Amino acid sequence: MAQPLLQAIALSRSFGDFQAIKPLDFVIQAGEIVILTGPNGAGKTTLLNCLSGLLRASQGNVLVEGHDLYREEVAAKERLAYVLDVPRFYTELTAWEHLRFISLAFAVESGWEARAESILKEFGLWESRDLYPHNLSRGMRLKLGICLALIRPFKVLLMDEPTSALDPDSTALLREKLINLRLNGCAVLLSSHDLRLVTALDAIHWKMEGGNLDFG
Amino acid sequence: MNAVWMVRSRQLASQIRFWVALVGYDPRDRSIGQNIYLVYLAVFFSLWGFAVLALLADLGAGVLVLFRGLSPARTATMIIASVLLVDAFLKGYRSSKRSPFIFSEEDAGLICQTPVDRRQVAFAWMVTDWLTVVWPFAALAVVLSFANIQLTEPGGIQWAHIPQYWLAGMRVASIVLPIHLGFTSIDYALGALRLRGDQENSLVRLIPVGLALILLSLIAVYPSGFQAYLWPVWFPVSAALGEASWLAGWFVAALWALSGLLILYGCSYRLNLSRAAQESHTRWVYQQVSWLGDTRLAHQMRRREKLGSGHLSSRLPGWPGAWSLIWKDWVTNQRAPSFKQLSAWLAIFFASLGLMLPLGSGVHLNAFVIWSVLVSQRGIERLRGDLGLWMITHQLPIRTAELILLEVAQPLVSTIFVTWLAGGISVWLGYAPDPTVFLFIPAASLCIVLSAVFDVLRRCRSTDLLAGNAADLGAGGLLMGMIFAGVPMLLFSWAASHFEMGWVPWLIGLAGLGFGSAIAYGVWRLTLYQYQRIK
Repeated sequence: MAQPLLQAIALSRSFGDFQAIKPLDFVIQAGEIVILTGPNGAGKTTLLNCLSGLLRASQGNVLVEGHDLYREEVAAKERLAYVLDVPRFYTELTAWEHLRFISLAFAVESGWEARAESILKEFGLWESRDLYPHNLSRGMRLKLGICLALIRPFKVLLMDEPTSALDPDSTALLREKLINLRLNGCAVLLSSHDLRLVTALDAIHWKMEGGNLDFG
Repeated sequence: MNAVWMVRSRQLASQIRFWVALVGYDPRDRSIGQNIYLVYLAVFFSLWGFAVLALLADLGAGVLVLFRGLSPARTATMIIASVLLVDAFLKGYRSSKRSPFIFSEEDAGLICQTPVDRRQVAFAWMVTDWLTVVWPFAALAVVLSFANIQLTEPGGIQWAHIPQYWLAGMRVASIVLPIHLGFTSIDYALGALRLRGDQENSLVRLIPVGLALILLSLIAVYPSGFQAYLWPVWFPVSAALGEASWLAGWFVAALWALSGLLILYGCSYRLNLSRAAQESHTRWVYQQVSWLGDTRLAHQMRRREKLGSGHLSSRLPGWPGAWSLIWKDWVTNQRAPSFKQLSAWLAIFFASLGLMLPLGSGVHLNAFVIWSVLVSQRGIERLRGDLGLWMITHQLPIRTAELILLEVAQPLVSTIFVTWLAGGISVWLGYAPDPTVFLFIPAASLCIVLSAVFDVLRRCRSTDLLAGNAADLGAGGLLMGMIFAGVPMLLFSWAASHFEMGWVPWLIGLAGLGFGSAIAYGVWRLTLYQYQRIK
């Protein structure tokens, strides 16, 4: 069997006495798009934060293409990209400089400029490339967050409500991008309240409630 | 009372109420008990203020004797005149760039849109602002005048000398205050000149820059004649310190005040209040936020205002991997260089001087504590900025050791350089620093910075980091750094003091450096462990 791109092993997270994620085990294979739905407070964002390593799990482990997120941090992070619903940016770097910084950090050297230009143009941010992120609208900041994920090489893409602040054109573009990623053998796990995405992307639908996952 | 003065005086009263509320006095309560309490507060703070100034005079005396070949009074005159002039030029330049008149939203509606006399507004705002900013200058002048007396009448402050000190303080304050009022008026006049009518008069900023350049050039070309160029400031200040007739000095100081006020009167008759209100709105919000103690928000607001909307993106080449952090730091530093950063390094420099110069063990101890606090703060600044963007930095494929090393390397190297520079300056002044202290600086800096980093990481929670809130440095981290750096430094310094031979103290210093480095390595391992354990 092929190496799963993302694997959670007995993963749980508690905040004091409150267990936000109950012990979970799952795998996501290459070419799969999984959409996580559930009511507010179900634990979707906490799960994504734990899978990305931004929040340390209380118990259990995460493997990214077989690499332990906590023990082989660098190898795991090289294969992972995460877009948060409200991304934050450096106050002093312009949109273009953010792309440059991420490209450098992920050692994307050859052709990064052409790639950055193409991504920014696709998401309608080309004219705003020299602006500081705090001068962009919420939707534009979310698009910049998506661009920062797309500029680097990854195998697993995590997204927290990526369509929440996007206009219809950008949502359609994102759908197209996700389908292309699947064709390229990446795995995508995203949370959303928009059930139409499940059919539009022909995705696997997981429901989350009270920290438990229902794999349908 | 005139409407403008009424509004402004009430704003000032509200500020005063804020401060007196901190000591439990309620100005609205007219009871006898509160009146007695007010008298008690006045007496207590007068005595406390006098005691603090007298205490600082010890440090002032230490500074005055550093300038060999100059009398204490002359050195004090030089320091006071320089501080007054530098402050005047800096504030003048700032006023010629952005409005010195700061209006609240209410002011913008009630005052700026009504046909009130612009001169009255300019005067009311300048005078009330001046009343809040003049105190540090008056305090500096009084401390140096006390220090001057201390050096001429050795034996410390005695009860019999208190009237003499009091008179000296009054004498210097009576002259420095009008000079500062004159300078402040001129600075505000520059602002009023730029805000004249609807046209932006950006050439105004050339006035303070030009004057400063002329003065600096004159001093550079004819250094011996600086007393003559600076006579209008030098003479009254020297008179304030008893070097010339007080009456003549006061007369010149009063002329400064009068000239400044007349210039402001002449420049402010067409002051465009709407423009001033528009320009100063953000600064007013910033002042309110700072007033409420939200320094993080205040800093962010100031930063964003400074940055503007955008900037031509940098094409600076960079190295891939962990070195991208250096690229990012370079671009961000270049984008918004701040006076605050420069002043932080200057503060470290002066604290280092206090550590290196032979000013006595009490001053050394104080200087070490101040130096440690400042170095800790500088050491964690970069790391805290990146931790505040956890969602970006924690996604980067960079090893923890590399990340922390790159976060602390620049402040650490700069600290060592600045501290050694202070040591070099003390040698230049003719005072050889303790070799153990001099050699121990790299290890001490490393211990202090890493302890601070460890403490910040210990206090961080990933949930807070995701919200953009990096923990601040706690007293524990400071104390840990001071112990790890201070105790070995003290021990080796004490050991070295028992040997008179030229090379032995240096050898002991080197041993201390090795010992300190071993401690620093221990703290380094702890820091790495802590970063990976952020919950």
